Amino acid sequence: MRYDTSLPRSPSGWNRLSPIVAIETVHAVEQALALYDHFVDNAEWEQLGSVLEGDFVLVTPAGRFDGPGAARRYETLAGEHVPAHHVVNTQVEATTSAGLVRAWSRFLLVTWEYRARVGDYLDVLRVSDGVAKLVSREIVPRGAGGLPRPEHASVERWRTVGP
Amino acid sequence: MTGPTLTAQDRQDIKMVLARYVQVIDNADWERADAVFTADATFGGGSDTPGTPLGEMIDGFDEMVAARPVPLFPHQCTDAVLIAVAPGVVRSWSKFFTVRADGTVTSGDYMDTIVRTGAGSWRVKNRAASMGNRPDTDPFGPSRRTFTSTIWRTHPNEPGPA
Repeated sequence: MRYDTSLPRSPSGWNRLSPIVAIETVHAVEQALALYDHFVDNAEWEQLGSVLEGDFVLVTPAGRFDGPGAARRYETLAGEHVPAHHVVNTQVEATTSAGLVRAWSRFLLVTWEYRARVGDYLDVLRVSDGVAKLVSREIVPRGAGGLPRPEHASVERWRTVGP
Repeated sequence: MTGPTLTAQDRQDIKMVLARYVQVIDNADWERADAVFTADATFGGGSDTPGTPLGEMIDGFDEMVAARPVPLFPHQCTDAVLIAVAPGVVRSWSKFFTVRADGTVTSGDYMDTIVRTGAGSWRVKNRAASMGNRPDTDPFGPSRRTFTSTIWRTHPNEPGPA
């Protein structure tokens, strides 16, 4: 098997110098991203409202999902055995919109078959009174294999080319 | 009414404690256990059940590891969320994953009560772990997810500062 070894490009506008974000804002963002993982992994779907804005938009390899139930509808596509979610390597940047920051993280999913899948979260969050909530999230799988669903293979940034 | 709060320094110090834990446990570096735990720290337990004292865990650690069906693989700690539940008392909910020698991966959760000691440092007073997202045939048993956000916010185990 040969792989396309070209590196994925940074999302538009990332990795440029931007205004420093207060450490309290970074902590609020990290807390929200981690709570998302805990709530999904433990099927506490009713708790997701504490970390998602009401008009939350989720863009995934499986399509776009809108509204408060977006995360549940997407995450349960995997069926009964939702993988364990881990988020690492979060960088937080200011935006030109007051109260909005964006975060670029790597996710690691641990499946019930002991496999690891990785990719990126591209998030926009609203921070108010020390609490961060996700306004939008784009999920971008990375690496051969992507998420454990066939339809995701077509959007991987490292594409398998040929046998 | 505003409850107890955590400063940025508190959050950083507590996350350092969580990071030290994985080094201490993975290296059986019990001489540094006091950099992670209070002297009266316990594992597991609940409102009606006492946890296992840290000393007993350490004394039985080598035997426990030897009895495991697979080696103890290094832990990575992620996803720590912190909430101050009383002055000097924090509840932490974090996750861990391990990468085994064959490249397979397992995951689970930690839920801790972390307290500010008399010396001003933060230490783990109680730790509970749950095994997450694994097949029923796992050598340690099936997935057992027992943590909830309610337990995180209100668990009565070891409520006081050290």
